[in-house]
Amino acid sequence: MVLRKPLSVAEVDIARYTALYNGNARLIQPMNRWFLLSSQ
Amino acid sequence: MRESAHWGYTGEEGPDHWGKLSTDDMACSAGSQQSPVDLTGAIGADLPKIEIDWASGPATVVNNGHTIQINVADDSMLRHGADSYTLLQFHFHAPSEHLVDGKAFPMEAHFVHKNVATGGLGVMIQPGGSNDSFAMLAAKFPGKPNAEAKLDVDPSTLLPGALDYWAYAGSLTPPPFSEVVD
Repeated sequence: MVLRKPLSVAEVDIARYTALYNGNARLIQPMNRWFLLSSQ
Repeated sequence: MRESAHWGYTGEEGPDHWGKLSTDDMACSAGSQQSPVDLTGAIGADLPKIEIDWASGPATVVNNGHTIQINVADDSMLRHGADSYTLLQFHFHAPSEHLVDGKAFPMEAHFVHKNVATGGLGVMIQPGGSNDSFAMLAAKFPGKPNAEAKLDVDPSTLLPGALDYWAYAGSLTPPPFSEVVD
């Protein structure tokens, strides 16, 4: 599950993380499952 | 996250080689429900509400060599329909692993829960405003791998105001990529 609304934080705090880890994201995978659902 | 196999995000230990790290990682190359995905074209559905009952308390902030991970006590629960999950840890990625309509966010938090299956809750993170809890955490991020710090944290303060969500059957995104994530 992924929340639709993002969390807002200070840019300086994002920079504190990316100074340590920047690029630690797996690339997206094929969407070959049945459904992507969205809560209403 | 598993620590035994050597893996990373670049070079010989990078994503192109993850499926060959060990037989435990076969789901990476042979699996059919791998995460992350581009969150686009979702179908509206009458899904159960996410109920968060996460406790404030002592936590350990660990630089594990792949990310910053916050390990929490086992008294925080997420309920989703008939299922209840215990929060184990949360960690971050930069940029986000999931895309939304083809676009990445600067960061993504993954709240990792467990019952029989793994319950993953992803939260996109963007710049704008400030969040006191995230700022407190960021000030404690250990700079070196295997270093850790202690602090009190209330994970629920790291959630946006609304809990509407996308849902799909997925997997862990680091090795071993097990396709057991609700």
